[in-house]
Parts: sequence; structure tokens; C-alpha cells
Amino acid sequence: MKILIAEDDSASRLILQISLSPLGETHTVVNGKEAVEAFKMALFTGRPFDLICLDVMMPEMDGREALRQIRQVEKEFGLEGSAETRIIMTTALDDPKTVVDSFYRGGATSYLVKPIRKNSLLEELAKIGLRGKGEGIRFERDPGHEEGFDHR
Amino acid sequence: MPAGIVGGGVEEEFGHGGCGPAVAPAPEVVGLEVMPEEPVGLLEFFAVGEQLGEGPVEVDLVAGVAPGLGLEVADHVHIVHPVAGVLRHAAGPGLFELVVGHGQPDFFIDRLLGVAEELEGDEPLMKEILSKFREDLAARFGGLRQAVLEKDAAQVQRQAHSIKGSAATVRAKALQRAAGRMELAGGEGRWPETGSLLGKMEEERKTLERILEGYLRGIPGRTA
Repeated sequence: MKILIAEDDSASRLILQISLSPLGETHTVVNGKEAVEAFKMALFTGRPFDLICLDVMMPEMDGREALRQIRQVEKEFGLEGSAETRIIMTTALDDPKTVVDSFYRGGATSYLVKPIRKNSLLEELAKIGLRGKGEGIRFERDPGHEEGFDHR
Repeated sequence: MPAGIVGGGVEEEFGHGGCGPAVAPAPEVVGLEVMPEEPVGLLEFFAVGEQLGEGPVEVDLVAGVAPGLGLEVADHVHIVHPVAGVLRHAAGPGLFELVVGHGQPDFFIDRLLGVAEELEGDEPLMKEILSKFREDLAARFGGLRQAVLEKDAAQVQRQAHSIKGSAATVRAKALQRAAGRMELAGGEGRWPETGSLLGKMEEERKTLERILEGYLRGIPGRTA
């Protein structure tokens, strides 16, 4: 599985990266603009991401705009419905309206509220079909991390 | 041999944001002297709760304040007046510093240990996460101060939101709440309130820094 983590908070980014590394190849970026660029590059080179974790509020371009642009590119490529990339929005927002906007109107597959916990992440991955229910994740250090988009 | 109380004074408020009583006495800092004869690993101490008056009294420990004396381990101690408490894993002799609050303060170290548990006890990873948290926090506080000074609502909101998210990640709830209030106040242009909230957030950060410093000092580095 190929995973993109877009998160400007270093600690959250590291936790997500460590959590998801056992599941596949992880890439990290720090804002929405970089996320869209990384998404396009992966798509154009024929190795698209299976999962994108997108923080809602980031500098340069926020997660909602990045989500919108990613879905737009997918549409142009005829990727709709089950062919769409699974995108989990991560947020510290308390404002349900923002979450609802991203989730239902913006086209996110799912969302998680910070702090991200391993169990809730596992559950969410199972819900969106990227992980078998009951399968655990061991925290591992960089087994599949690629530096290509790493802007830490 | 029980440890004695060697210091005292008023310290910044700690963990005031949530579940404590409406008007709580100001927390205090007391020194807890660990005598050289004390056995390493476990230290019993007495009289702290009694000295501080009516309870319940709860305590968060800031260790590592006397590195020259070999203190490296931070831990959490809990005292309910007038019962004596136990300081676990005392690394050696020296002077420990206790941040003491009345009522039910935020037990940051407890929650921090919960995060470490979620990370399956990977302490070097925990250290790395906390180091990154501190770095980000320093930068974001700089940005927040500037934004408040310039009355830049969008930036205040953004910086406060980022601090709120970072604080949530390490379960620093008091700072998380204060940042959430700042995010709202900044977004609505309530500038006098942002000034006092900034002061509150700075206090919370100062307390966190002290606790984290001790905590980090007690964990071996990943690439030592």
C-alpha cells in the first residue's frame, strides 16, 4: 500500500508515519499544496496513492482545498466512485460544520479527530476497506518510508 | 529514611483549565530532598500533604532539576492529604522539585505516560515526538505573539489552532483548551481577551516545558 501523509504538525506527522509504515510505503508532506503535487506526480507516474491522510488546517493550502483539487484531478482522469483514492481527513477542529463540509460535501472518505489513536486509526482503515478487522499494527520505525516527498 | 521538605513558594498555575474547583488555591512548589542514603528505586516521603494544608492535594513531579546530582528520571507522584506518597524510580540522591496543585489539576504526566503506552513503550520514539512538539510549539508561539501584536485575526486563529492540535497530540489538555479559546477570541477580534489568553498560554507552556525537560532527560536518546 502506498500512503501519503499531509500534516504540518511534526509530532502528529511522526505518529501517523510510525503507525502507518508497517502497512506500506509512506510519504510525508507538510501542506496542502505539496499534497496535491505529490498526488499528481504519483498518479502521472502510474503509482498512485492508496491512502491519503490530509490534515484539515495547514499553511499554504488547507486540507479542504487540497481535497477538492485532488478529487478534481481524479475526475479528469475518470477516477470516480470506488476508483477514488481513500482520503482520511485529520483535524483538531471542534467545529462540526467544518468536518461535515469536508466529509460529506468535500468528498473525503473518512475523518479522524486528533489526537490520533492507534485503535481509532485501525478501525477507520478497516471501515474503508484498507485493513482487515481485528488486525493489529505494531509501531515500527521507517521500514517503508520513502524520502521522495518528505519535507520534514 | 523519609525525605524532608526543603523549599517552598508560589509557582504558576497548573492544570487549571477543566475539572478543578472554581476557585482553587494557587499551586505551590516544594523541594523534596532525596537524601544520599535513600535506596535507589523507591522513595517514601511524608508530610507534604500535611504541610500544604487541606486536601485533596495532587502533585506532579518535575525531576531533573539538579543534574549535577545525577537526577535523570521524571515520574508522577500522587498525594492525597494526609497520606504519604511514594516517588517511584528515583534515580539517585538530590533535590527534586514538586509542582503541587490543589483540587483536580490536569495530570499531564499521567496522560503522557498513556501516550507512551500507546506507542508500545517505545521511549526513544516518545522522546522524538516530544522534542518535535517542543520545537513546533516554540515556533508557533512566536507566530502567535506576532499575530496578536498585529491584531491579525486570521493568523491568530491559524497559530492558535495549530497549537491546539499539537497540544492534543501530547494530551496537554490545559494548553489545548487555552489555545481553543484563543482561536475563538482571535477569530472574533476580541483583542483584549487575546492578550490575557496569550499570557495564560505562555504560563501553560512554561509549565509544560519544565515537565517535559525533566521527562525527556530521563529517557535515553534514539541515537545516543
